[in-house]
Amino acid sequence: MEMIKFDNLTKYYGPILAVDNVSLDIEQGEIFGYLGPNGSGKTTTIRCMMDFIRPSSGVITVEGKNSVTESKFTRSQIGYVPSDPVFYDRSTGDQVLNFVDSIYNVDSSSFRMELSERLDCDLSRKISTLSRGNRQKIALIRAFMFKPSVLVLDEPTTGLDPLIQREFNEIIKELRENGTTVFLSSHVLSEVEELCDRVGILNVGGLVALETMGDIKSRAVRQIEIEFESAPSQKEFNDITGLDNIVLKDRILTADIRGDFNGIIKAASKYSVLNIVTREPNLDEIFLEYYQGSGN
Amino acid sequence: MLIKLMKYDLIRESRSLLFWSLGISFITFLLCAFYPTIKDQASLMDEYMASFPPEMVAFFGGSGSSIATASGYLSLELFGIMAPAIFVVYGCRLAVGSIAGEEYSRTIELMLSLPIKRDIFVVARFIGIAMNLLLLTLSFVSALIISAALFNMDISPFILFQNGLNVWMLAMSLASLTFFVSAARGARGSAYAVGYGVFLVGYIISSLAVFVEWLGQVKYLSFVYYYNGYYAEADLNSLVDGILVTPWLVMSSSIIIFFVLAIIMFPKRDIR
Repeated sequence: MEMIKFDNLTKYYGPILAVDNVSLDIEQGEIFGYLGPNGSGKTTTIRCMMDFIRPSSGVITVEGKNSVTESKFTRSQIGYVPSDPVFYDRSTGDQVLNFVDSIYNVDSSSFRMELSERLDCDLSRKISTLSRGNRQKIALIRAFMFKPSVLVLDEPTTGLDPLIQREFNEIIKELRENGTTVFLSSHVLSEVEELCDRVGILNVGGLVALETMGDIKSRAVRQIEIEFESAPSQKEFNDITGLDNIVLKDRILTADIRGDFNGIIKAASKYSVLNIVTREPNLDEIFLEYYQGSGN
Repeated sequence: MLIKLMKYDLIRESRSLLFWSLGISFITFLLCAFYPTIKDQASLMDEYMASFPPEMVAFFGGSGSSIATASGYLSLELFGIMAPAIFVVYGCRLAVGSIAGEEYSRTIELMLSLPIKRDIFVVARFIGIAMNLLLLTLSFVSALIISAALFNMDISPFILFQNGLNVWMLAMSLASLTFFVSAARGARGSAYAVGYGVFLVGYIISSLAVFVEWLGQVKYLSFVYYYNGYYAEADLNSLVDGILVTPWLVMSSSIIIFFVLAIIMFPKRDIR
């Protein structure tokens, strides 16, 4: 089931084009990563989805409902975390969350308590006394506590320590198992890699890539190091598709590999192999290629 | 939904309202406490007031009544400029803060991420302003009635109540205008400039219209004219003769117009 749909979304700020003709569909239960450098249009897209700003053209639908004409419904389905949440300073976390409960006509106190324990958040303190990270935790609890069908998260783990980030990942996975769809804008690539099923990469307002994490990983450059019993002939490896930067030093061959390992394994199998070491794909480089406009 | 929003806003604003109420009540008490001294030197004070040009007396809210009378004293010292200025500052501050101020601080984002229709949000915020101003007015009027009784001021509590509401009406008119700008543009600077600017210019126009002929027609654009200029022109004093319907009709119509315009404009624009 299609939960979120962007249909030729375009947004201008005066003469400046912020989002350029973005179209994509996000399925129920999918965790979708929305990536891009600063100023690429990620937050503008999210603000359009939340109906804070109106598209210059194009339509966003959430559960089939238009985000502008039926925004009360679409917002009722969304748990939202902004990149830098600002609350009323004099309120406590509990007061903020009680108000949200009253708007939704629900009592989320038990789940809220569980979330506050897992995220190590004191809800009785005034917002003005809290650190950035603790305010972020309140924003997360606020978004999660009514178990929304859609989560829209804009840089949600900014200011959180690694332990809490890990707990955040677990909560997201649990919510997804219960059918929640997640739209995640993030700069933390490890988080994107661990959580996302698919990513859309935005550059200068336009969507330059829309791929599954599997596809992205398969195209990522990995480094391979093979130790042979005796030095092989480098010629055997020179023509293998996807192999670059081949260096043969004594009995050790190193190379960058893009795609599968079939060619290099076949060539290596002609010799006696003592050890094979591979380095994990470097997603940063792939994203950087897209960010710089050279991705394909 | 409306009630929930209003309740939340009132609770948030309650501490500020308490301090403003205490402040204006204290000022009111001090001014009234000074009245017996003025009264005891009635002839001296009247002589002193007569030494000022009538334009100057009018500019500072003088009503033509003797300063030694309770109505004359309160007209000049309290209802002339002090109370209107305090209420207008409080009302405009609320009007700017309720939308443009929240856009500036970005607290509006989390509020509007909830399933709240924007027009309902505007209505809740507007009623919140009216309620806050009304509560401040009630504190002011209570302090005034008690102080007037304590210091033997010969003036009816009902007249004081009426005049308190007159201050509320002026503050609401300017707060509504400010609220409209705040809702339509989302810019704090513009909203403050319009609210305070219209009050100050209106005050000057209304005070001087009696003496400056070419201001004769412009005065009708001033809310302050409907607050006290209208009475001065008819040779009345609202603290003696009570409140008239016509100026209140003009001010309440303006309030409704700005309120409706805010409801129309805010849902149409992008949040900053």
